[in-house]
Amino acid sequence: MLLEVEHLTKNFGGLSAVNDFDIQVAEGEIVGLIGPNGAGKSTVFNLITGVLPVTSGRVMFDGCDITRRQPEQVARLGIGRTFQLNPLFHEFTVLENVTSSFELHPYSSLFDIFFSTRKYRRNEAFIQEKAHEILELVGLSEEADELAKNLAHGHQKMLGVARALATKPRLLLLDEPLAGMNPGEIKYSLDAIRDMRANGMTVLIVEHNMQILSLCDRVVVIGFGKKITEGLPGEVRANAEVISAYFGADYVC
Amino acid sequence: MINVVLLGVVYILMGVGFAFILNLLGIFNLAHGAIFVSAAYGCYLMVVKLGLPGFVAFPLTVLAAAAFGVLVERFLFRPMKADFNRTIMVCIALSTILVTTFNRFMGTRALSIPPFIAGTTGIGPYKVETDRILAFCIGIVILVAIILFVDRSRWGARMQAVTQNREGAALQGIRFGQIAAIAVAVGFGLAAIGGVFMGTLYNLTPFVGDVTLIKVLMLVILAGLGSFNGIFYVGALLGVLYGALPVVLNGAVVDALASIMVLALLIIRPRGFFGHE
Amino acid sequence: MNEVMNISPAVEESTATGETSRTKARRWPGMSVVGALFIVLALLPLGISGSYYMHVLILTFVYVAIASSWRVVSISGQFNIAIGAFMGIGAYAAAIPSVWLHWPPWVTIPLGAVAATILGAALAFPFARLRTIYYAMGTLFLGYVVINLITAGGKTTGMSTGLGGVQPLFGDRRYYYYLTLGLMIVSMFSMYRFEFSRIGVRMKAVSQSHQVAASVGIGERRNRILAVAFGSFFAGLMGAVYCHYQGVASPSSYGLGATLWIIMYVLVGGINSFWGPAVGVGILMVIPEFFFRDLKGDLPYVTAAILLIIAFTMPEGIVGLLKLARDRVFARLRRKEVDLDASGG
Ligand SMILES: Nc1ncnc2c1ncn2[C@@H]1O[C@H](COP(=O)(O)OP(=O)(O)OP(=O)(O)O)[C@@H](O)[C@H]1O
Ligand SMILES: [Mg+2]
Repeated sequence: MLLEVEHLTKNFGGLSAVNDFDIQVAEGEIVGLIGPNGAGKSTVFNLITGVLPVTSGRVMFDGCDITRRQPEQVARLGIGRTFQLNPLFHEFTVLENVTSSFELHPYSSLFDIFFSTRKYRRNEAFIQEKAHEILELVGLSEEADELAKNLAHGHQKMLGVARALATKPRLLLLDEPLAGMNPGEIKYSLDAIRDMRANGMTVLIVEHNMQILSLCDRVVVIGFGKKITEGLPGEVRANAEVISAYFGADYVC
Repeated sequence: MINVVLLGVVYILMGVGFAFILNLLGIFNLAHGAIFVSAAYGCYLMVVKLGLPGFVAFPLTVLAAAAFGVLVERFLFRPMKADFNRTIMVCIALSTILVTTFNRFMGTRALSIPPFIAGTTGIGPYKVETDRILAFCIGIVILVAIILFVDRSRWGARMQAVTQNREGAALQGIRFGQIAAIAVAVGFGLAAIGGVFMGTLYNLTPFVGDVTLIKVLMLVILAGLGSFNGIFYVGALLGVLYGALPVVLNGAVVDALASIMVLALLIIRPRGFFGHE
Repeated sequence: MNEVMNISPAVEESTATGETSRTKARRWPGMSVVGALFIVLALLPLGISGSYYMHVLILTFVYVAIASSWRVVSISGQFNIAIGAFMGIGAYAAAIPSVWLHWPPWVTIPLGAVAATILGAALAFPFARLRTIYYAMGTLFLGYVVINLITAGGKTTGMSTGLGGVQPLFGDRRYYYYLTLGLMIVSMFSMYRFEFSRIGVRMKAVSQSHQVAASVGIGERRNRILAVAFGSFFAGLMGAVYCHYQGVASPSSYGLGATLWIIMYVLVGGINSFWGPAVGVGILMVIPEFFFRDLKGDLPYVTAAILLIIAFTMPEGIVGLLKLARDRVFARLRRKEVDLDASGG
């Protein structure tokens, strides 16, 4: 298993946002994590990536315990992510958003950077080239020189994905990548995610949009911080409990 | 003893004034110390040079400061559109102009406003200068008035609405410009009261403003940026600290103690004692 | 969308090359102006005789480096109100061994720079928890504590009157001129490398969103500490040099007032521009001292007026305004080019 989360628990004061939650993701899989608003999906992501400290439980990535790692260390180990509210480097151009995210591969030391050694210049040239490739993949080549804050909402979402891809992650966590996109953009994004899978990327997706189910190998359903059920997309879709979790009184879109 | 209490009252007046401007306009009024000093000098001039009685000079000074506040809000603060960098430039320019003026025309010599009422009053076995008791009473009355103003009056309610949610308040038809002008007027007025009190109690030089500004910042941070009630408790605490401790400890040590306390608090609990998330 | 993807390689190439040639074309005139200015400054002592003007220029070089070091810290999103204190740490770390142990200036000056760097990094560590206004207020009180400690330092630091008798480096003011000019150029060059390289990109990333930065492997804490350590080095270095030049270290030169003026230099020149601090020092220090010297005690009115003018008319400072003007001109030129192309084709 690439990612193994066991007995994950997070309390905010009295509120238990995530409660004894387990999830596994194998190399090469696309796993969906669905559940109603406030179920704790984003919190799970924040716990995995070290943005929030866990109350108890364990997060293993590639056989290595990352439970108490800082977010940047988790990124270094190979987990890329996007955020639900999708913050960006707003004052950077689209291209700069991506090039600045190439922190890890290739790596230049402070010495290399400060003295602009040949290695650094070679790395930077490589990064420019790769960044353009990524922008092409997510369909933002034309906007490369725009400031990120001037992009349309859907494009900003794609830029978030592009930035995560720049870290060359082994596992990609996407938090509601389709939210706020128009149908054309959704179709495009689904294709892009499918492409990533074809390239052997492992992805864990949080999404409200049921269209995502068609992409997933497996789906985990979370409600009130607990795992409700897990299974193939078809099974989960048929499962009555999910339907009630989704369309019950709690469901607010 | 009365010094401790009075010092506490002065700090609270200054802190509340600063907080008014900070909470409502989002402006760090780095000219607060200069306003304080200007008021003290203004009152001194009226009493000593014009020979006005203290009872006339004191309210005149405060009103003048409040009027000045309205002008500053309209012509200096408002055009800056709450841009932090620009407002501190304006505040520093304002403070430079005021301090230089008093420096030029009054010299750096220490001055003192003559007491409004001479003599002492006996309270039990102690003899206390009457003007200090008077100052204390006035201070308390003003603080109570401020609390009532914020809690009970229509303007106070509007101010609270603006502090909590500026857009929402605007939708309810509250005009921000008016509120801002009142906030700065009250802020400057309170600073002026503090200045006059300090001018009668201690010596006055154009540079006391800087020292006072630091104390005010200390107070506002300890209370928690944006917290209003905290200022009363922390102001009293600082009054004790600066009024009483220098008797037993070196003044610089007290300063160092207080500022280390501020640092520790900021690092452990940035929102201050009374601030909330 | 797919159409876009098919044609995008061509588009991408043209924008990429267009961008680089454009930025190069933009950068060259600026660079040659700076180079010419350095040459003029290097030759100036041959022309000016008044040692007062030379003194002002020495002061200018020192403060250009210090104000730039403040700005280089600020690009990581840290509004540091303790820069004066770091300057003071450099000055006292040089002055104390110089006065009491008679160490030579060539040892004490690097010592001052290193002391400021190490203390800067150590103090930056707890402060990396604080952001925005909380960071600003924290550093304000940090500076206050440092000054209080210096003042409470007894005979070693000379208390509030300052520590006199710091050994001079040279007898001739001209040598100081060249030393400070040289140090300023080296400092500016280092800071230029720092900002316009991946290091600066990291700093700017952290300041825009520490959350996003961390998610791509850019640690907030380590980069913020690095920025403070780097900036403090130059503040400490120039503080030490300046105190040897003056022969005295006094706490009033490093307090809140001093810090706020350094920040004013940066804001007047333009906080978002590399050359902003240099221009700001030029405006606020050189112009009043050279042209309004006769005003003496009224001089602060001139500086206050400058501050007000800038605050009212140039939100991005002087260099910000120049950049805006330059971009307008370039945009117009480019539009003309396009028109010509269109009519030609
Ligand atoms: N930092 C926090 N402090 C306190 N409570 C929090 C915090 N973050 C989340 N919560 C609470 O934890 C619960 C789970 O939130 P979370 O954001 O993980 O839900 P979600 O499943 O992502 O919902 P959505 O579909 O709306 O994104 C919610 O009740 C939320 O209010
Ligand atoms: Mg969520």
